[in-house]
Amino acid sequence: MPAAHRVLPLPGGARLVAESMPERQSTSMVLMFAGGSRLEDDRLGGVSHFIEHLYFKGTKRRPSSKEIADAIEGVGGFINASTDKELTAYWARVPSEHEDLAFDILFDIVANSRVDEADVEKERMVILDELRMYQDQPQDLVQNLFEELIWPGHPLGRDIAGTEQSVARLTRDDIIEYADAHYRLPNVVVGAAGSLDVPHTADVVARGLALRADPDGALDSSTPDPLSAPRVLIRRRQTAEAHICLGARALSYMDPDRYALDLLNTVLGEGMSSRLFLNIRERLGLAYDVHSFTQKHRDTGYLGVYIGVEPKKAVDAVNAVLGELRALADDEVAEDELTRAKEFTKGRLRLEMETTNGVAFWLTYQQLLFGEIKTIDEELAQVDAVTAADLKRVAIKLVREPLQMSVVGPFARDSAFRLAIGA
Amino acid sequence: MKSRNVASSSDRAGRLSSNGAGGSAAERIRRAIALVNSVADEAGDEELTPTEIAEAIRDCLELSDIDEIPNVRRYLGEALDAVSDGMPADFVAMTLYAALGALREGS
Repeated sequence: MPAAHRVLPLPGGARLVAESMPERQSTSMVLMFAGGSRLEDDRLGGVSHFIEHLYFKGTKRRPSSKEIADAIEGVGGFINASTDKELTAYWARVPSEHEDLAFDILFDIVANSRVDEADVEKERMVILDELRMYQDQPQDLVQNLFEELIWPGHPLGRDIAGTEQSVARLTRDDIIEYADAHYRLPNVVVGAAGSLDVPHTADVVARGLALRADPDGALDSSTPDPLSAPRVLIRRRQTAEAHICLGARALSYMDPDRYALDLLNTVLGEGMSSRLFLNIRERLGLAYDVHSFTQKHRDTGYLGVYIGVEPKKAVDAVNAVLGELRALADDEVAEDELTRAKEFTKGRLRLEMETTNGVAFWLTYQQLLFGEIKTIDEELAQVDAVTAADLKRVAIKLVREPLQMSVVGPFARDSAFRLAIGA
Repeated sequence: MKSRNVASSSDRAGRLSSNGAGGSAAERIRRAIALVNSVADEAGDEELTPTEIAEAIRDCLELSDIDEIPNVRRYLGEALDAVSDGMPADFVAMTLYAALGALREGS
């Protein structure tokens, strides 16, 4: 099937990716900037996230957050933003006839925000509260600790929101300087999907997107050093449950084996038919919550397993999870299990494409990170092409990496945990 | 969940035969877990001493078949150290469950 989307160059090096879905009632639009917390040094930790918060505080034309919200909610639309490690996205979804308005608000936010000194101080308090809240939520804390272990001393290992120290120190000048350097036309992809006319959308975007055109030349980030040994990091908390993240470096999103990794992850720990759920929870009754997850970046990634478990069963559960990982490296998964994993993955991807928002993000993300866009059919074909031997090869690679484990719970020492992973 | 310290139990050594010698490695480890859990949960009728718990763990260590499965002896050793160091009963129990789990994974 031919691609339904179009990629159009915009003045200044920006790009527009648009897909007309005439049967839909809505149009979704995304402004996605290359960059994110990965580009921040320790001093500027959290600045991308800080900017994203501040840009909803008011612009020259819409001087308060209420006026921004009123403008979009007045037509029943949604507006939001998110900061990630390698990108920052601002998006909206509106009834289609309000497409121009939604673009106008998004462009206004990213180009004309006031960044008022009083707003900087207020938002600083909000973000510091957010950071402290994560410290009180063991599931969040244990994942942050895990990422510190996976990428020690690297910005990828730091919380996207920064640290209390860095957020406390960021000045208005830091924020404006950083935004000016990174919010530039060559760094942005605009995505749109829904009931839209592509030439009209291209015209609206070309006329409305007013950012600096020259590249900032500061989008490089070092590749994390390889890990040499297994490590355990414990935060002692008097929690009723132990919270554990266990895993290893895995593949980047540029790696051709990423589809095999995703299927491996599905077989291992996604959903109620996964091995972790069936064996650790249902058969052994060891943990209430056990699942696996991946994170992929340009040159690195990981596969992790989260376990929420009674503290007395913590190391037993870790060993049982390690047993499941080893089993994937020892034996090829059965054909019917692989087929189930493929159908799960393909089904979820197709469900994502049900919404205009899903399609807009799918297109924009690919254009920004890969510089090219696969259609859904091409993506599904890549999933179908994965074999049981591919999964085993990826699993072998994974278990040869030094294991990393973070633990939050009432543990006075880490010896038994270290023994479990040979640390 | 309670987190009583093993060493804080009153020390009346020799009062209770904790090991009931014999049985497979798994049985002996389960017996040791039951003893530790009774301290952790304050469920026992009588207070147990660290010495009694240590004896139960040493009973497990006596069996040579635990060496056939990686890490079982090391977990038991960790559990014994934890008792000696006065670690909380829950921590000792966790290490014993790890030994039992290692037996399960290795069998």
